[in-house]
Amino acid sequence: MAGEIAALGVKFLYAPESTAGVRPTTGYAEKAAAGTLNLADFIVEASGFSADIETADVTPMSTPQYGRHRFIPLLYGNDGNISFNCNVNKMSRESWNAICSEHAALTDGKSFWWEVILPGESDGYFFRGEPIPMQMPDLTTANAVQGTVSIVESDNVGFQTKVDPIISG
Amino acid sequence: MKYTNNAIYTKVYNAVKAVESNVFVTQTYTPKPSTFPTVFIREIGRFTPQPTASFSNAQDISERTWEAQIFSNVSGGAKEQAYRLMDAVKDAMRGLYFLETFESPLDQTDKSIYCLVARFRRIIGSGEDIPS
Repeated sequence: MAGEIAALGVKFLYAPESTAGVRPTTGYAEKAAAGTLNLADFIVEASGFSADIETADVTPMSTPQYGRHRFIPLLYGNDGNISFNCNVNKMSRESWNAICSEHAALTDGKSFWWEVILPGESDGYFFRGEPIPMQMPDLTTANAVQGTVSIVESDNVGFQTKVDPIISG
Repeated sequence: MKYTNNAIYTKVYNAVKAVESNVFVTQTYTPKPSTFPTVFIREIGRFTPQPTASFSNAQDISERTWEAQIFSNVSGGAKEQAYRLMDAVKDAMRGLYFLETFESPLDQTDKSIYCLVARFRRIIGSGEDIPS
């Protein structure tokens, strides 16, 4: 046994900044308000943050034929959009869009920090980003209505000591 | 009204009764009915499609499979009666947005009986109401 875990039970939380650009250390919620769904109640799949990294070729001109390229790491990360696949219905749409409205009401350059807690972990994965309102879902006959919601990433500090969710009723 | 088994059954019951008022409709399986014609309709499978379970394991979407069997013994017209009743079943199930996935005659030991079987499937969300 090497401590493998399954994805069921992952929690998705968010918290508004008190100061723009500063990650909150408290106040992480699983949903927007009483009467809405927890994020984990309608998210069925989440894209991760890519570990792919841009590189620069720094192979010296003196490298002989059949020698090897040399690289240095530059930047890494996604294209800026973190996407979650969701079961789409009135309840999930209103739950997500309530979070988006909450973000839209922020002032002075403040945004949300998001926390993803894997089952049994003492750390959470933290990133900053703006949620985008739910758009037209994917539709195929004989399948459930599912679609994608996105968060535009503006900062990312990776795994840090987790902050447990506040109970929002 | 939600997609309960009874609600689905009632829709089919009313549909086949409108075609053959003397039809016996039941959800209780019997390999050889004593009354003809008989429409046997029931749910035979239900599960949560894996891609629809949320991270909190909310399972609000289910895939349901229903089966209909029609038994007729009308002398010289059993096949026609069975298909007429099956058409009514299919219309009712189509109206409930079920997809027909299978239809076939079913061989009977008693050759005076014509039996037709069909299966239907549908993804149903817990928030859905059946069409009125």
